Amino acid sequence: MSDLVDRYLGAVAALLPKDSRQDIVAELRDLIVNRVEDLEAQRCRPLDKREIEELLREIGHPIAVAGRYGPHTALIGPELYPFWLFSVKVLVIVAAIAAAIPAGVALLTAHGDARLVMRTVTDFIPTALCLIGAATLIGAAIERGWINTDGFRNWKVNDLPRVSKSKKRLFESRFEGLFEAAVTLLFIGWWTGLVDFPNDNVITTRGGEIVLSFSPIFQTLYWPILVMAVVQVMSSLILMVKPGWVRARAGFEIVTGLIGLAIAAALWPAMPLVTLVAPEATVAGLANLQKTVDLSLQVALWVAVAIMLLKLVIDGWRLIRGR
Amino acid sequence: MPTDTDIFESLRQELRRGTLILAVLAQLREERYGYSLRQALSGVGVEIDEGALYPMLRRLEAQGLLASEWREEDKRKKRFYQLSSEGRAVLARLADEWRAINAALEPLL
Repeated sequence: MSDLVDRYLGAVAALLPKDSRQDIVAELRDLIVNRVEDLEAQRCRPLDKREIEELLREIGHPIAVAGRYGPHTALIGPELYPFWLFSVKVLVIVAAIAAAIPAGVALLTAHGDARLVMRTVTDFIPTALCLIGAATLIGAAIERGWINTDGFRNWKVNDLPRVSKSKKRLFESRFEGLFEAAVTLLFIGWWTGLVDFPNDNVITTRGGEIVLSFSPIFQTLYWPILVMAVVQVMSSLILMVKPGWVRARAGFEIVTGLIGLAIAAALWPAMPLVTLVAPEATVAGLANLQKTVDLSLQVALWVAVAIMLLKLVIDGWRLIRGR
Repeated sequence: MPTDTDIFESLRQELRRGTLILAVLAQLREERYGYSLRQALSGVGVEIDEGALYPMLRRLEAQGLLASEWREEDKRKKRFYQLSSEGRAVLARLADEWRAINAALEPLL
């Protein structure tokens, strides 16, 4: 008997905290001996090896038995679980968008290079798993009180989004925020060189390759553009997480708009913003294409300025009214 | 898909979980060691798994509701538990709570 019981208790002891190990094991040993004695008294004979094994199995697997003495049994408790699940859903959508956009770009620029498209699609799985892992680690830390969440507990009903006439609109506004954040984060990744887009300055056409050369003004405006993108991400996160914070969102949008207008003012005199080089094209053809691109960029800049001005008026109104 | 039996069993366990602590505290007005406590509970119709009982005793002791000491009995060292003074006060309050719940629910059932 003692060999099996010792092995069992040894396995439990190995999983217990050092300071209480001896005490718990002594109590478990007493329990097992009592159970054995009772069974032997009922059967009027000593228990054989198989019966002792059966008894120990009934008491429970050493991992389960030791686990019951731990201070926590759940990695993410029932109170935290809905918040964890919500975060996981949001992160999976972020990972899907972050994988879908480069896949779309690859599809458009790589002319059906399946490996390139597949690589960006399969990037989704490790990205999503990493994000879920990070959410779980943070959840476990909150569950154990290592991260203070008092501020989050003091939530206000006033911070919740206004009830829209259609539930669809509420979902759309959160999705809009999520999409905006994912796209802008991707832009930041590309702008800072963290995300590598396939052939980002070469377009392959039937008439040969066209190399895009960007104006040096973009290097001059590196920091203003980066700051604008970061402010935009913060604004999108507000829309996604706290849609009720209308004034905060409007404030960030106004800052984004003002930086955008300043950037547009700096870009206008620096035209052409993109220079095309196509060794295989005719001079006239290339000049014609360059003219079209310049005109398109000028129109796009005017449209962007008009949209930014309109948004400034709308966001100014939201900042004053708070809705 | 959980069956009706699974659902009932899960609800039954949920219902019993809180009452087991009350039963354990009530039985420990008198000093007992783990195995004798389990037998005493079983004798009055309250079955409790050892896997749940022993960690529960430690938790209640850590909360200051029980006091324990190792002592020799029948030539073996055993850990004896008994209600502390704080445990007696908590038991009295929990018992009042139990009676109030029972009184409120009885007419509904």
